[in-house]
Amino acid sequence: MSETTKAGLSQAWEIGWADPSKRYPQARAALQLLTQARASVAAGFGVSPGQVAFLPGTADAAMGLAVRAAVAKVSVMSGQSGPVRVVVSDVEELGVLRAMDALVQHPPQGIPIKLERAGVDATGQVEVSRIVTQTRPGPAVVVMQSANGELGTRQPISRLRAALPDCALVLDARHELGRAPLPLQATLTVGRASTWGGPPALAVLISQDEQKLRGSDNPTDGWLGIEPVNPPVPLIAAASLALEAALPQAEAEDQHARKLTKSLQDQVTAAVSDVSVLGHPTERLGYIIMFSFLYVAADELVDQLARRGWAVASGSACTSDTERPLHVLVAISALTHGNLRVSLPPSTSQAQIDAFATDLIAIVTQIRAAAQL
Amino acid sequence: MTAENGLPPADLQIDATGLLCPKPIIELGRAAQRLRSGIIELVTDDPVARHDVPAWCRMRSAELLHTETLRSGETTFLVQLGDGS
Repeated sequence: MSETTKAGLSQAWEIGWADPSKRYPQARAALQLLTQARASVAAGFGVSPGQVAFLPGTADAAMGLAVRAAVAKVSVMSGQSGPVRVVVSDVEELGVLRAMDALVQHPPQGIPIKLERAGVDATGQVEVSRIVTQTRPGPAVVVMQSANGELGTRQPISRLRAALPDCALVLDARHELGRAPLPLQATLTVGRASTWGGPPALAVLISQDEQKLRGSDNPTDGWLGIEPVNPPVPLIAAASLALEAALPQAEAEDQHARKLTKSLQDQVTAAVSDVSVLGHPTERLGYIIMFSFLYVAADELVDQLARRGWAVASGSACTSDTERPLHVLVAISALTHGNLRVSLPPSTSQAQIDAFATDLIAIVTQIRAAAQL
Repeated sequence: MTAENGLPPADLQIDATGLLCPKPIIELGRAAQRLRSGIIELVTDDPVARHDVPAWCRMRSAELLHTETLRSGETTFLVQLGDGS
């Protein structure tokens, strides 16, 4: 969390602790804070307050709710009781893929779901024409991330939207929204506040229109029929402050991060053999880069980097603590070992990148020498 | 491997059973360094080798001639080294 968020959060607890759906004065104050925060977030994203809902919890949970709402909506709008096709890419977050399996088992309002998985190419991008085929016959909901959090690869969302004007598109923009310029062209766009320096455990949902999403099996009748009637107002207020601080710098930060990841890539690939950078070379997030080092155990790499003070995430399947990225690596037919995902925090400097590159190169060289390779 | 199943014989056999990722691939890489050209047979019980051996072959311009998974869980890979291996 940024300093702005921390300060805002502590102030928001003072004013916004009460249940905004109640009538007493403290509750009115909380409602006022919520209304201001919603207006601020809406203005930041260039939409109306009626299009913005806040969902406590993870982005995975928010995606699950958004897809259920979208399924119910396209089913009602089609005027038929037939199945709804849900097309989801192979490289979605594991939590989203699991939510889709749960959707099939427990569909909203008993609507039959036909789940289709969309494969990706070696860069992690979907093929628009294949997805178009998979949505037929409709009604259909397409569930797609704007950018992959492991590889950084951006999906061709504009082309997808143009090719599928009649489908509901539920966009998982958790790695981009509030941090990089992102056109809001999906039926529903999900982001998370921590991505723009806001508090954890808060997701935001932006609807393309103000139509109620109620009609799913969500028992609450809050904002858009999807936000709980008693949302966590202090977290929302802090998220709106963090967004106000982040948005004016988002484009410049994105360009800056892009230069730094490119510099890291150039330094590492010049000094180390048998390394590949995964993901799309140009259609990508600026602040994420994933290396794949042949013959290197990623957990060893991460441990040694940690010993030198670097906190990086391994993307490898053979780290025992996570199965998270395996499905992404398998989907693009990459090596499942030796993968290192580097995510740059805002305000990273070139000097830090140079120091990191030096350490990384030394460690990889040392691990390979120990293996006599 | 014998000629009976139509597959060429291996020039070098590596038993990497019991070794976990990335060690089977390291063994494959070492064998490729020693052999330089020819055919390597790799036996491993590491499930991720099913992804990593084909990926290694693509990176090293080697050809994966044959893959066979036994009921015991072990997989045998037959790899023809290429020029860049």
